[in-house]
Amino acid sequence: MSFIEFDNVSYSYSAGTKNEVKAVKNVSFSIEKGELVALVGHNGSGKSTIAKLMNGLLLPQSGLVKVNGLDTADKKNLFDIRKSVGIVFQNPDNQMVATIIEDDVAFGPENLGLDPKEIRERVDFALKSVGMYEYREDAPFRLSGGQKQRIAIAGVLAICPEAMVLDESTSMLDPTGKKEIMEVVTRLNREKGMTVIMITHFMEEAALCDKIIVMNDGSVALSGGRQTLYDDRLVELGLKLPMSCSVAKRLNKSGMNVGEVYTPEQLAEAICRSL
Amino acid sequence: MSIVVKDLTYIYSPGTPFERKALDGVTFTIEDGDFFGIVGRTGSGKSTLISHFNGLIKLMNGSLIVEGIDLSEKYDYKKLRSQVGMVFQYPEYQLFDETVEKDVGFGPKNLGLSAAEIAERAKNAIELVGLDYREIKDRSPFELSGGQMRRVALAGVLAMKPKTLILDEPTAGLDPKGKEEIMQLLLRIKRECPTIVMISHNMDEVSSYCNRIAVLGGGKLKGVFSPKELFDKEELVAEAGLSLPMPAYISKLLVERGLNVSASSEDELVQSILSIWGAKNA
Ligand SMILES: Nc1ncnc2c1ncn2[C@@H]1O[C@H](COP(=O)(O)OP(=O)(O)OP(=O)(O)O)[C@@H](O)[C@H]1O
Ligand SMILES: Nc1ncnc2c1ncn2[C@@H]1O[C@H](COP(=O)(O)OP(=O)(O)O)[C@@H](O)[C@H]1O
Ligand SMILES: [Mg+2]
Ligand SMILES: [Mg+2]
Repeated sequence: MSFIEFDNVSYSYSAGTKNEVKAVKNVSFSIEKGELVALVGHNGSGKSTIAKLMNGLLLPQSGLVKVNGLDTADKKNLFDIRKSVGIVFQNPDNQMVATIIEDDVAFGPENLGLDPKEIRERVDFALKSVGMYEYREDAPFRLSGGQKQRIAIAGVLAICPEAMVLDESTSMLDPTGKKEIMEVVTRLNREKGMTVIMITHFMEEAALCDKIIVMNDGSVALSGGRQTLYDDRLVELGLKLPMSCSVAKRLNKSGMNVGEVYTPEQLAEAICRSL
Repeated sequence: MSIVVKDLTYIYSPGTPFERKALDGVTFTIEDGDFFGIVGRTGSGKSTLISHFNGLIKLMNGSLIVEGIDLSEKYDYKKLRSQVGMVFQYPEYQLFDETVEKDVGFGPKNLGLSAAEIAERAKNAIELVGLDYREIKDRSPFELSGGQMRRVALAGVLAMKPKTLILDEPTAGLDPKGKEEIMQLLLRIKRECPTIVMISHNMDEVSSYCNRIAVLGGGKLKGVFSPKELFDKEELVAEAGLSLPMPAYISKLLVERGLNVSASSEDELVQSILSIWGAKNA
């Protein structure tokens, strides 16, 4: 049994009306515990819909979604499923519930019925992880776009879920901020075994994941390990390779063999080795 | 001179426990014809700064002249709004009308233009952003793709025929193809709306498209630079939460390893590596 299983899942918005949009079509994949997964694809390819199917916010109209073996379509499983899969959504404005930042971050752990001391620790840890501890007593509406995104991430970190889905949750952050958040989640993945699913348009981030699922028009077009980035079909699907990969590919084609690299550092090393 | 900013300071909720200085003595000038970038960490004051440019935030301190309108005196608000087009972060969240054409025509309608002029402006703006007017005009903006919605939102601002266009992270959330298309679109728009000011967290974008870049940090201006000047300043880049554009970053890693490479595009990078390799194997 895999941790998250999609078995032939389809979902349409406004199903049965003339405005029906088939957002997810016959999608199957599985994610194991502790995996670091990138979910990529063009705008409208179905990524956010998949995220919402992962914790029962949307239910499949056909097929089956299971988390820890629990069917998301069975209402009595929802509490356990939402406790294990935390999602940070694309638009942070829709996620703020409280008028004070630390209350907002505490909302998740409070719902889990934890004791106040544990809640305090988790809230502090989460706010420090995203660099917003000094803002804890302020109001969410008084934040900049990127600061709101950081708070939304903290809100899910505080739940300490088994799996965290980040749906383009760093799109408004500065380069350093993006890197810091990436480091926080990869550390939790490595040290605590947290499963991480990154939905992103930054292929540099996808290159740091163990597994890549590529969506196209509601279907899985490609999936596999990191080497998927060297699959020629990726470019045909309108995606852009991380620059280290595309440079390596072009050097390889010209006969200078640098092999398959995934980061700028690996590229630089490989170039020096083959000179 | 398009925008002259002098000693601009702004404090949110002054005199309360939540008082926060978002801008602190900022002085610089944006010239006519600039493709001007504004960069800096989250919370550094970028959005607060540009919100002053179309009068959305009232001047608290200092002086500000936009397209010849002095905002430190009593000024014609409508005139300012029609000269300065503002495209917010994720502008598609602000689409509201039932058809694309009505949404785009909303601004001109508010200017009190004739029905014929409104229709003409909407049509031109929709075509300017690269959408098929006849195909799209009667559709609901809400059933479009992310990239299309972003273009409709942009068209709504362009229908006001602004002289200066200000954009807050115009490509955030778009896929790579959508990002490239919007940037190309801005170059095309620049022929009719010659001054463009853009906030961005994407260093590759800023370095390829902007001629001058202002760096903000903690509400203060750290300087205005050409892309080359900025990305040569390693310390400032790190301090301001920025990163090098990818070709420059890979070049730097190669320089550290003793190779002589200085590239500003992927093509340049590949060519210089291949020529070093070719020379060694000659
Ligand atoms: N409405 C508001 N009320 C009070 N403080 C605010 C408000 N909006 C922003 N701030 C504060 O002002 C400072 C500057 O915010 P601003 O939105 O200008 O940042 P920014 O550079 O645009 O950030 P980002 O890159 O995240 O969009 C931040 O400390 C922020 O918390
Ligand atoms: N709430 C909704 N109502 C109707 N259609 C929607 C809704 N949300 C998404 N869609 C449509 O479903 C498809 C997939 O969207 P989404 O899952 O958001 O893609 P992505 O996250 O990959 O950009 C798109 O065609 C989109 O327009
Ligand atoms: Mg999405
Ligand atoms: Mg902002």
